[in-house]
Parts: sequence; C-alpha cells; structure tokens
Amino acid sequence: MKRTVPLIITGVAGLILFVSAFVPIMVKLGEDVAVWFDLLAGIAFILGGGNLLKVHLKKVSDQTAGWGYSAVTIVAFLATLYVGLFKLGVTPEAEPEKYGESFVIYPLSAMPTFTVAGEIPVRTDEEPLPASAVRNMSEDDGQILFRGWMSEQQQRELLAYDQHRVWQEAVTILFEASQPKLLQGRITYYTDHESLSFQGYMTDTDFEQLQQMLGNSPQAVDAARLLRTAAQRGTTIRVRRPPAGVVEALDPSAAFADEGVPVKSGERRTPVSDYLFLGPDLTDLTVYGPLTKADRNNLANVWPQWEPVRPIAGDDADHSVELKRELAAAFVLELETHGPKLTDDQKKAVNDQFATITDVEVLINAIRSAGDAEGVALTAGDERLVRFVASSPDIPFEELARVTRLTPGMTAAAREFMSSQPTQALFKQQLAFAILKEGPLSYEQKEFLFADYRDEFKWKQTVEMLFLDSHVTLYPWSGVHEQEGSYFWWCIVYLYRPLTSTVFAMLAFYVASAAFRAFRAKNIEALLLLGTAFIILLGRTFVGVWLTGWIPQELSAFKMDELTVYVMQIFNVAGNRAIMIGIALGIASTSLKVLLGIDRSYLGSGDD
Amino acid sequence: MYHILNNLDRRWIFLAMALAVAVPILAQIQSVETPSQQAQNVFDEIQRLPAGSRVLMAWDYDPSTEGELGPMATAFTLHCCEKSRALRAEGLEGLKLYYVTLLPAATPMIEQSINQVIKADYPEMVYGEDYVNLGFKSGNEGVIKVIVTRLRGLYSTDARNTNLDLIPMCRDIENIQEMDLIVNISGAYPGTKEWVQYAITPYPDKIRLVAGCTGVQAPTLYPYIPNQLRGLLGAIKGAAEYEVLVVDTFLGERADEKYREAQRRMGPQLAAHLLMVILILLGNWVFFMQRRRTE
Repeated sequence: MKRTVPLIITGVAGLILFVSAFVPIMVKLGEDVAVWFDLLAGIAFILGGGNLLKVHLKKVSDQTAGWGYSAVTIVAFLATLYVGLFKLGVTPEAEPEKYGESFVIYPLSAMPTFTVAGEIPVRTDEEPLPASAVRNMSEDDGQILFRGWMSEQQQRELLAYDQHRVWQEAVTILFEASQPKLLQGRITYYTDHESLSFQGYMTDTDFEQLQQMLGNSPQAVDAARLLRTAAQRGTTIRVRRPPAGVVEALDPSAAFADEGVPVKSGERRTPVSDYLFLGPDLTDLTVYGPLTKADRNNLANVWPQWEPVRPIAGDDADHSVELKRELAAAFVLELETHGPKLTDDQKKAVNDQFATITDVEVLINAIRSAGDAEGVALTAGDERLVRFVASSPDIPFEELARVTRLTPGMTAAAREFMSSQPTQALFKQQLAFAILKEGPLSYEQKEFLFADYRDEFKWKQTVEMLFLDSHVTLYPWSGVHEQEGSYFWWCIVYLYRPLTSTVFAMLAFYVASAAFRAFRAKNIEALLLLGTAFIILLGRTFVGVWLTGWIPQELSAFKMDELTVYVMQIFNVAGNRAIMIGIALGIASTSLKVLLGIDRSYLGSGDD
Repeated sequence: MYHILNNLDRRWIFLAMALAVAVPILAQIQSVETPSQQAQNVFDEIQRLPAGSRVLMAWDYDPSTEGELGPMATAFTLHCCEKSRALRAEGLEGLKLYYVTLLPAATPMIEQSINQVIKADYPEMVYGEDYVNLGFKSGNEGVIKVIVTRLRGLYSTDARNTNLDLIPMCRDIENIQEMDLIVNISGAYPGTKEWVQYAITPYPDKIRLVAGCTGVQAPTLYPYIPNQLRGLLGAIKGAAEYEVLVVDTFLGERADEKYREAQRRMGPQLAAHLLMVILILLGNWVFFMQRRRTE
C-alpha cells in the first residue's frame, strides 16, 4: 500500500499532463495538476530543511569526522531561518499601513445596508463576485443588498464583473447611495479589515458628524470615541533649527498661547494647521493625530521654501550657454575663496554641472502647453515677465501669479516645473561630488558645498520621523523579509553572496592546476581537444583578435574570433543536438516506464 | 627548467592564477570589445519592441554566478529603461518590465537590478506601472508550465504581497503568452533550457526569447538558436559585447562605471585565459620531455 498510492498518484498525474498537451479540453486539468506539483515543490523545502537538521544533528551527536562543520551548518541554518521567518529589521510595507489614518475595529454587521431592486447575475464561466466585495453583497427577495460604504475599487471591480446594463446601473446606484454623506474623503470603511478609518486630526465637529453617521448604538458610540482618541493622540519630536518658512507657517507664538493644547474646533491658531505646533523655543514639533501625507509634504518641502535652481534666460541657445559658463566661472571664484584653487579637471566638472541647468524656454513651453489645453495663448508681455521672475533669484517665484495674468492651469504648470528643479542645496551637493571625483577639496570648501544640503536633509529626516512616530503600525510583519537593511538582507549580501562567489571562483585555481598536469596531447583525440581549447580560450578574449588581426579579409575565416564562432555553431551544435535527441528518446522511454509502473526505483527500496 | 616544472608545487600555479586575476583588476585593464552577431541579435530584439511592450525579465541566477551574470542583468535592465525613456520622449508608452525568478536565492538579484538601475537612474519609472517584481515561486519548470497558460494559477500577488488585480500593469495579464519578449538570465537549472522547452516550444509563434548564460551553459544552448532562442549572450564576454552596444548607443562617455562592469571584468578573464594557455603549453612540454627521456 505504501508503494501503491504514490505509484497511482504518479501515473494519474503524469498521464493527465501528457494528455493535456494534446487534448485542449484537458488543459485546465493539466494546469491544476501542475499547480499541485508546484505546491508540493514548496512543501519539499520544509522537508529538505527538516532533513538537513536531522542529518547534521546526528553527525554532531555521534561526533563523527567533520562534526564541527555540521555544527556550523546547523547554526547558520537556524540563524538564517530565524531572521528570515521573523523578519528582523524589516519595516512594514507602506500600502497596507495607510499612513495618515487612524483605525478602530468595527464589524461589518454594524454598518448600514443599501438596497436596489434586481438580482446578482451569475456568470457563464462561474466566476464568483470580486473578492473585495463578496462579503458586502447579498440578495434578498428581488433586492440587491450592499452593506457598508462602497469604495471606488469595489465599484470598479463590480462593474467589471458583468457588462449588462441592468447590473451596471444597479452598481452605480448602490455606489452613489452608499457614499458617506458627511466627512467625505476622510472617513472610510475597510471591509477586509472590518475597521473604520479616519484621516488626519479629528475636531469636535468631525466627532459629532461621525456620531451622527454611525448612530446611537453602544457599539457605535464606543467606536466613535475610540477613533477620536486615536485621531487626537499627540506626538512630539525634538527638532533642531527648523527652516524659517516652517517657523513662519506654524507661527509658534500664536499656537502656544494656551500651552499647546489642541485648539477648539473652528479656531485657527496657526496660519496653516490646527493640529501641528512648534514649541515656543523652537526645539520641538508636535502633531495631534497622525500626520497626513499632505502635511508631511508641506512640512518637508512646501513650507521650508527650499530655493530651486532658477532656469537660465538667455536670448538664444548660445547666449544661455554663455550665461551658464559665466555662472560657473563666478562659482569657481567663490569656491576658491574657501580654499585652494581648483584644477582644470575640477573646473571642467563645474562647467559640466552648470550646463545641466534648464533653459527658461522649457518653462515657457510648459506654460504654453498648459495654456493651449485651456485655449489661452501666452501673451508677449507675460512671457517677458515669466522670463524675468523665473530667472531672478531675488524675486520669490510665487510673485509670478501676482504680476502676470496666467490662468490657474498655466500657473500650476509653472509651479510643477519649478518643483521639478533641484534645490540650490542639492545642486551644490551634486557639484561637490562632481568636483571631488576629479580631485580633492579643502575642509572649508567641502563645508561650503555640503552645509546647506546637510540642513535640508536633516530637516526632511526629522519630518519623516514625526510621520512614522505619529502613526500606529497596523501590520508590523507586512514588509518583505529581503528588504534592504534587514538582517536577512545583511546575511545575503555579506555572507551568502561572498561565500558562494568564493566557492565558484575557486574553480579557476583547480582548473589551472588540472590544465598544467592533465591536459596533455597523448593521442589524436586529446590533440583535437587541445586545439579546440586554444581556439576557444584565445577567441573569447581580445588576444585572439589581436593575434590574428593581420590575416587578410579574404581569409577572415581563419581569424581566431571567427574560428570560435565556427566551432561553437557547427561542431558544438551538431554534437549537442545528437546528445539532446538521445536524451529526449531516453526521457520518453523512462517516463513511460514510470507512468506505467514498470520503473519503481524513484519510490526507494522499501517493501510494500 | 624541466626539473623545476616537473616538480612544480601546485601552490605556485594558484599564486599565478591569483595574480592573473588580481593585477588586471587593480590596474583597471580593459579590453576593446567588438560586438558579435549574437550580442547584436539580443540588442536588436529589444530595440525592435514597440511602445508599451511587455517584457518578462526572468532572472534565474543566484550569487554564485553573479560574477558572470550580474553585469548582464544590469545591461538588460539599462537597455529596457533607456528604450522606455526614448519611447516616452516621443510621447509614447514605455516598456513594462515583469521580473520573476525560479530560484529561491535569486530574489536579491532582482532587487539589485531594480535598486542599482531603475531606482538610481530612472526615477520616473513607477512601480506597478512600469515595472513589477513578481518574485520567486517554487516548482522549477513546473512554474513555467503553469504561467504559460494561467499566470494567476501561481502568481496571485507580487513579491510585496500586493494583489495582482491592484497592480495596473498586471491587471490585464492572463498568461505569459501576452509578453512580447522574455529576457532570461540563466545560471544553471532551471534556466534558459527550461524556458525554451516549456514556454517557447509549445508556443513558438507567440513568445520570443533572448538569454544570457554562464560560459559552461552556452554550448548546450547553441542548438536552440535562432528559432527557439533569438539571441544568446555567453558568459562575461557576451555581457561585455552587449554592454558596449547598449552604452555606446544610449549613454556614451557619460555612462556610469557600473554600466561598464562586464568590460572591466574582461581584463582578469584575458589574463586568466592567457595563463591557462601558457600552463597547457608548459604542461605538454614537460610531458614530451618526459616521454623522450623515458624512450
């Protein structure tokens, strides 16, 4: 029996795969068998791991020759398994975390139900309803019921489920009916997680609206309170020298009039936010509720007003090039005041870097394109103003909207262009790397080039820390175990990779030794092999080309590189095809013997 | 001389090999590579892909063969990214890259290609829209057998566990017959041979394959050229030739050092091959001297 069952499984699975290759109706069954094969192959890894432990533990236990190596193998295996399985050092994936949102568990059964007359269609291919909405949808007495607030993804997948007009209309009606009437865009229900989510800080007004939506049941009241607590949780982080733009935006003197307590709803204590506060001595930054992605961007990029590299406004392309050269020369002079003179190569690197600055024409074209889309042409006067404002570092770029008559679309295009330009600090940092590639710089020169970017980077890092600290991790194990920086990644990069490469590289030493001692022209066959080896060895390097480069074109077939191709494509292919045909015939006969149960050697040598 | 060579300790040979490899690396010796027809074939296959083409990047190699195949992976990714950038510059859709592997230890190799090339130099490419990492599935050629007709039979999520239906570039993919090209890098088993047998042979008119492989594998793959295998890069030499084509076409002098890695590795190969030839000649001289003396 022990041998009969595997024999039957092998025979049946093999025959299904065999038949499915020729009979189209069996293809689906063949696929299922192949999937089972792959699942079993996955399980084989576990069996392999268990077997490895068993074999090496026995060696260690018996203290047979080389048991020390077995001990190392066991330790390495268990350590790798531990760091990989428990994902040590892995940060959670961003997508399932839903940063900027607070959560509370809330059962689907407590959510409101929306109905529409009709029936859920049954597809001819028996495909079930989309997994994302199958728990929300039901059918009762000629009515389609949807429980919860339908998300856009659910709507999209339900619409794709069936193309009939009746179904499309029903889904559209349900989608519109089930959208939350209050707090739109801030409150969400996740069916898969059976949880309610609220985005950002929850004011008292938000809380009242939430209660109104959920109703007065004890479960709903508890959920709303818990969500408010989560959405008002305070997080403080130490900061050092916040950028002036952030200080101005958050106006700490006004914000901390009542010791940093969150403001009442409707009141605004800072110019830009009612839940973000800078401490009075500018040493700490507090956020109430989770920091949203929008405010993270505001804090890191918008409010600091990092000055971008302004485009060059030459009269034409040649003039722009000339202006860039002049800027580069002025920059070199300034850099040389902080240390020794730059070499010619370093000066060239500066020139090359300045040459990458965008011409103002690109900005003008972007604005024109945006205007074309709106049917508005850019006037000559506005074009002159754009050129002037964009290329004048002393004039804030935001002035552009005030001094010109650009449409909102054109202004947005101009802003997008400017935000795509590197900041002054980043540009200087790139310059530093380009110059250092060509030669050394003094400490003062490096400080001059790197200081601004260091401040910018540190501030962005601080904002990231606040963003992460203010978030309550939902799925700490959601990250991939091989994530860069994790312990498993470290094992791969610093242990596994060099060790396996070393083992592979050692072949070169043994092959060299064997070539010297054993590769000898003892007979005609060995001589042929030797000649072929010379051709391939030399032909696969530049030496072959160099040695036979003098051969005239008419006799190019005798050039070493041509001979290599000839050997590989003629003799090698002929020989290999003969071997492959032989193997294929062998496989066919062996497979038949296995499928028919004649060859049972793969089952081992045990008795029935 | 005869006595010295006849009794030569193998450690001297090991030392010579170490020097043959180390000196060109330290001296940064590079050879001049002329692209062969095979390298040109591989290059042309990618070049002729139309806008919005889907390319399956099957990275079937692990760290043990990284020395030979790593530069190839970098060059393939670079080529696809540059091709995408050129297409986008014309207002067209770029290529879509789907990374998969049949080897459990190869997933870091995919991450390496993504991090070193795409994330570092092509930040405009978006995960899920321009490239996706579908990761590893066990089953060797069994995986190919399934995904060639039903991708979701095995791949329901990508390597980050995101449902394929939520990934824009995967949403409409039924099976890998919808790929315009398969680019395979093959270290051993499973590799190019299995892709030829289980993907190309059953669907010769639908799927096209180009590959890069180790020097040991190359002779066994030549019989599949040109019908089942449109082009083949053999070992570091093939990688260097292909690298020259890609770099010269798209980057020129401004190419970063990491895009010249295969050419850099040809230096040690040149010296090592020369040493092997010298050792074989010396070994045979000793052999004939020995025979003459015996006679």
